[in-house]
Amino acid sequence: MRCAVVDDDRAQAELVRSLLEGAGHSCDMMTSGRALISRLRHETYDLVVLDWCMPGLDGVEVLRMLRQGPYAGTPVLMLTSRADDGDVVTGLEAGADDYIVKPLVPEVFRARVEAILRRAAMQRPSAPVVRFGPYSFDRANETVRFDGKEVKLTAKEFALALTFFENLARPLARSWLLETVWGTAADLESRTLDAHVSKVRAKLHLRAETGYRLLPVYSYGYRLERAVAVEEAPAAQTTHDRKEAPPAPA
Amino acid sequence: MRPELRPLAEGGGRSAPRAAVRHHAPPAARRGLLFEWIGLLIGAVVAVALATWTRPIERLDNLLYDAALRLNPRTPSADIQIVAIDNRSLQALGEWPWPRRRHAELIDRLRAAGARVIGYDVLFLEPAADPADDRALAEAIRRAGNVVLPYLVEVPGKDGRASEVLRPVGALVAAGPALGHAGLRPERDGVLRAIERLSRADGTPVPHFIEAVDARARGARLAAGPPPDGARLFGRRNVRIRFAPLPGGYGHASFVDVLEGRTPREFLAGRIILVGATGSGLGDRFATPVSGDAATMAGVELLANALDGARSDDVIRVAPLPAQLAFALVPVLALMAGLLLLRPRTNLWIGAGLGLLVLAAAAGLVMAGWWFPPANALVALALLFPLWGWRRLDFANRYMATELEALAGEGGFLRGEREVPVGDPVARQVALMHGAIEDVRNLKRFIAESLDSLPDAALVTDLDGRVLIANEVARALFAPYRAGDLEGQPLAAVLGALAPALDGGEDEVSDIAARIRRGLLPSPEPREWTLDDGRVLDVRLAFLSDDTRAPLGWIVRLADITRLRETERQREEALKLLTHDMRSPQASILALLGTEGRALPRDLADRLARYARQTLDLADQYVQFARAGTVTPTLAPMDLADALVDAVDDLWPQARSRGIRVETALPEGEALVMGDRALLTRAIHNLLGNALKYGGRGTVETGIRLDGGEALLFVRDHGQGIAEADLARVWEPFHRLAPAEGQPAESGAGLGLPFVKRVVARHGGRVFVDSRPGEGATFGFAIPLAGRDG
Repeated sequence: MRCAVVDDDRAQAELVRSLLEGAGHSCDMMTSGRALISRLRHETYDLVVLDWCMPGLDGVEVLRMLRQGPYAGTPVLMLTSRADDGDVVTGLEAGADDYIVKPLVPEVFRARVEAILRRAAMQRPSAPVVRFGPYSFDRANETVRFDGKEVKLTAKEFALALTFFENLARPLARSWLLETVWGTAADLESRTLDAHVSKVRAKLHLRAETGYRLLPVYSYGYRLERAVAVEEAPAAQTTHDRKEAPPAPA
Repeated sequence: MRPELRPLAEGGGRSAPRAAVRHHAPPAARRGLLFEWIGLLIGAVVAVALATWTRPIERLDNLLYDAALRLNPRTPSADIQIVAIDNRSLQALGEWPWPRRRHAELIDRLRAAGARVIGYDVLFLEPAADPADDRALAEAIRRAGNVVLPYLVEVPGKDGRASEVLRPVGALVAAGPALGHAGLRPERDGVLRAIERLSRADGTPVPHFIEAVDARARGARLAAGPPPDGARLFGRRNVRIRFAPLPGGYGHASFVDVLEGRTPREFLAGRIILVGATGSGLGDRFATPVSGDAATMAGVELLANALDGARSDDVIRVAPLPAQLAFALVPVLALMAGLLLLRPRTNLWIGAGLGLLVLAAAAGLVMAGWWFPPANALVALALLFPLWGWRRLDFANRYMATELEALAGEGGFLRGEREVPVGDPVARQVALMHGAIEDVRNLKRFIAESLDSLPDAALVTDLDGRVLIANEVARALFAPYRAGDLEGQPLAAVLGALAPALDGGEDEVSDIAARIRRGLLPSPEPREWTLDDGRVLDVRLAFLSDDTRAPLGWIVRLADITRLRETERQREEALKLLTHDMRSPQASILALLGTEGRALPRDLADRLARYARQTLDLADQYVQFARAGTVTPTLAPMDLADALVDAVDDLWPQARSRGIRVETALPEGEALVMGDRALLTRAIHNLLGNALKYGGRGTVETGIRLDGGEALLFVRDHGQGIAEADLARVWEPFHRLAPAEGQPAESGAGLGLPFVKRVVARHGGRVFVDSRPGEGATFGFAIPLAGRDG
């Protein structure tokens, strides 16, 4: 796949490129939003990795221009140093497919990129039974089997769970979820969605230990993603320390 | 930080109803006035009832009746003809009384002329000097066969008997005339309006002369004759005569003309003939409603009127008492209702209209044959005005006196107890009033000075938005933009002076003006106006109400918060520096280590990465801690268990890499609280993170219990625990525990737990910690559960 990396910070851009190339994608690097816009006139990219904070046009402005042009369908992954929930929402609402707060965790980055590219390529499977890891969804009977055992879900819970799995790793807005699962006419209190998500999470064991996480994107919505076993540097350090530490006194 | 300014009045209702804005008397006063009105109403009804019964102003009624009657005269019937014993007959036939032979001759003449009935209104009570005369008359009566003779009933009779009947001479009675009593008694004012109808105690009527004549004319015979002597008799005058106008009336023929055959036959044939005295000197004359001041009416003429009425049933009946009472009460009650509900001027018109209506109704009813005395109603209507005025004034006076006494007795808000002179009530009231006015003056001054000493600009307006008071700061604030006094100006104009210096000022000002006009309480969120010179004003609008919460006016306060905003801006910039500008280079360092840094020795790279991460952590923690203290959390109903699960999943990688099992105990139902999910998740994250860092190996237990209206979240580890001396300080910012002997120092700024404390405090909850050295520690917090429907 062809990817574009737009970042004025060379170190970040290099890391992103190495991660993308490590995953088998080719990569063009640009240092400003204007460069991307002009390059898009004669290039097509399967993915744009865009830094929010750049001199000149910032990431959100570039994103808005992108979404208005003929290349509006290009998937965009935002990178940002801004850790605020509000900033995340701004990025998503401007049309980013996903966002990652710096510093990059390689495993997370790879997982998100794969999810975006897979989604872009995917034809919505219409098979009567769909499998996602240990879960199999039977559309006709609206039943879910987890590790071969049937899990009892209500119709709405089934629809919600299937929506999450079909949009794995994608941040889903509350309003979009409500519209997709309950229909446009629904006039529900916001607790309804939270309560259903909570039920689905409990019934399907969507917990980090079982390999899937269903987590909130604050002030925006929810995201279902694969739990990645992050090998953090501090964690490694701790392991290292532990080896040398004397056993704790009883 | 948002300024913690208290609203000037509780904004309980968002909308102050405009209808309630007009000033009414206090409820107690209204009730008192209502009692006065009820008293007057009862008095009026009783007085009207008594007056209807006793008729104290009968004379006025009579005047009105006579006038009404003159407006509605009858047309005399040609059936009735009077043969008058007039002056001319007396001149021709000599002095009265005439010999009875002459009457016998007249009766013969009338019989010969073909009279239908002969009502002979001459009393023949004593035997004639010559018995032959009586015989001749008796013969004539017998021959005619249609003669009616009068007799008298005297009440009381002689020798103490109830009555005495004076009949015609026995010889005449034997001749078989019809008999009827011919008593005519005028009313108390000497005017005769009705023939008095007599009846006996058992109700048997005693027929009157005209009834006897009427019966004969119809060819009937009366069953009842004269009553026996000494019978108790009752008289009623409730059927009044509708008189024919005077002069004119009924046809007259002179006695002497009839006697001598000069009267044309057609005047007499087939008619009812009444024979009676009209001549002056014969004394038989009465005052009647139609006879005016001077003239009187002869008895026989009066009988003709009565007879005519009886024959055509064209009479005026006096209405029964209950109907009279109703007739008098209706206008009185209508006016009373008006007095209670309408304005005095309107009531004056209503009173006059009601009076005219009563008069017109009475006159109309007379025309229809009924008499309803209107005088009682008229007098009552006229009296109600001054009476009601007096009661109201008296009440107002008493009320004011009571209120002033109470005010004087209350003692001072700004003064001590006041001395009130004892004795003359007027002097006392004047003193009280004087004191009250002085109090008001002092209070006004006090308010003005209080407002002047405020640090913020304040404008007090009435309900229509007119500025009543502007304090010194306000005057100084508006001075550069507007010349002249602020007091008395419309608020919209005053605030409008700022509009040119204000971003979006026109809209803001017109919005406030519109809210005041509609009586809407402005939204509780404060408005901020930034002037073009950089000053920032915090604008608040509050409603003033009296002690019954009825609206009185508005207070507009404009606080200069320029410095506050400046400080806030600087702090926000500092935080932005931390969140973004300091994070970026650290992220770049980590990125470098991930690419070119791989050439470095592994140990060095790891340590560099660790320091970069620590810096990031510190910045993140500090920003979160600072924000938790200032930004108002957005509270929404949420399940605390969701936040706990999020936090557990967040930390799952760390737990796994340290080989620690996290056991989560969730409650059966939802732990519904009003919370900010992001803040609470971060708080739980911090507690769990600490447990993982300091909790040693094995398990960490966490969970939520619902207990007494609280959701109680705990995190228990089995590490070294915390020394008792340190327990109290763990929630303090930048406090870090010394690592247990031999343990490595963990990274952190000592802001994790203070953040938890701040967040929990913002949710109205409390934090707790329990630990014994060597046995691990339990950290947690409790926040109130949301109401079931919340």
